[in-house]
Amino acid sequence: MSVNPPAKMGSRKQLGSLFLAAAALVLIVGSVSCGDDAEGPILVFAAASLTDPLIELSERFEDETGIRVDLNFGGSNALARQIVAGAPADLFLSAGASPVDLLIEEGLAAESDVRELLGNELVVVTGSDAAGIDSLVSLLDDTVGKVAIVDSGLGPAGTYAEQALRADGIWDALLPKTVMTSDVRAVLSYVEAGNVDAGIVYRTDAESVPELSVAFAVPSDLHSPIRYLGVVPKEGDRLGAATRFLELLSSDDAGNEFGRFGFLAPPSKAR
Amino acid sequence: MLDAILISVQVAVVATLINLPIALVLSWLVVKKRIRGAFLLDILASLPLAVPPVVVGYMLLLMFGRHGPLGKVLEAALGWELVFTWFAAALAAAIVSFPLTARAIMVAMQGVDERIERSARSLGAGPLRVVLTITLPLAYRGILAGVLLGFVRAVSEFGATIVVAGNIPGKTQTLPLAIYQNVQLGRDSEAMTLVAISIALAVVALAVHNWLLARANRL
Repeated sequence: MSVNPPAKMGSRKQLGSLFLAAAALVLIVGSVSCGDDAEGPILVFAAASLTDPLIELSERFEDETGIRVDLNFGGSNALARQIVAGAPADLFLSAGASPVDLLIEEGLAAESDVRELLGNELVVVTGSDAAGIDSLVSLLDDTVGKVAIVDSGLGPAGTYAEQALRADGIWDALLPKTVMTSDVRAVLSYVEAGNVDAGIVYRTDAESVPELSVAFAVPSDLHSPIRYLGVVPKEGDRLGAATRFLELLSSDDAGNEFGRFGFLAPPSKAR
Repeated sequence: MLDAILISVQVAVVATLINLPIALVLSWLVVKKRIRGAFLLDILASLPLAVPPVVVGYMLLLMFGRHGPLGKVLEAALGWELVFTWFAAALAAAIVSFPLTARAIMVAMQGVDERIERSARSLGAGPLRVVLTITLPLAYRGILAGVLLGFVRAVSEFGATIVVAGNIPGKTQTLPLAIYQNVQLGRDSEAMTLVAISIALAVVALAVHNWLLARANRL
């Protein structure tokens, strides 16, 4: 590197202008998203599978009450662990009971506050051609290649699938041609890509992929009930508003909305 | 989608602005001043490279969350809850991208011939003047490279962000988080669009970097 005075003057100006440009950008962009109203939004932690219906229902709630809803989507287990670690959730909507149990164990939620919101169903999905697959036992046929399910250690969908396969007495026989995945999304993409012949997923997930067809629904008496629960964590500072939103979500109106996306009524009040 | 782009740019710019002065001072202390414990500072600066970003995010959440010591202090002093805001995303991006910025600047400062700096001192320039008129101008390219590297890393930050800032559309959902959400929901074409935008953003950052360098060389 050579020392040449004009260059260093230019360099200093450059650094300065870079700073200025960056600062200006921050001011412009910052003003876009810093408009919190006095009431403040409620922060809802929700299972990723609830994304579409929740966006619609939260907009409806905002129109009716003027209370803004911020939705934070993720895996239910991860969300529960974040709440335990101090994340400021005003409402928690969980797929499955065990994440909610974690909050109760940690003293962050009361058992009596837990609301059962929705149910779901396990189905076997196949590519376009589902010929010959009409029951769990038929998955054992030689014409059926590999079958994908979620690893039961990694997601509740896998736990339910394993329960059903064991209850049907075919778990051990099916194991050699079973592919374990980390989540339902992976099962769907394996089936869609033709890497496996069939997969076990929730009905709502199956319906989100038009290229796949539902071969049959797994009988619900073969596994423990699939439940979506809602609870207002005790430490929230918007208990009233959060409870109002949870009430809206438990209403028949909301149930119909969820139904459009394939969700079922909760097991406790199955239609 | 526009939200995710704006939030990403905002988060990455703020992360870079947080990092640049700290990285400059730290690099100077380690490379030029060679203070005691420089070795430890050096390691500390690079630590975020060694642990998974999710761990960084989790530690931030434990510190700044409702039950965390810093979270309680902020809440009591300012009534401000940091976690699950865009600023938490910026903080996470800053920490994760810091080693890249700092290391590039350290190398750049090492490349500045100390004989020139000593000559300046011997001619009566104070330490600050030496830094401003000799060290920084001569290390300019390396500093820019570090800023760019850090910026691009901040734009792509995912693991720490989702833990400490969440994935709130319109508030903390950056491009990588929006990509993740679309993949989770099976919306592959939306995800690919966002990937293309991310790449375009990186290319623009690189182009700006090259343009600034070219101008600096011409002047």
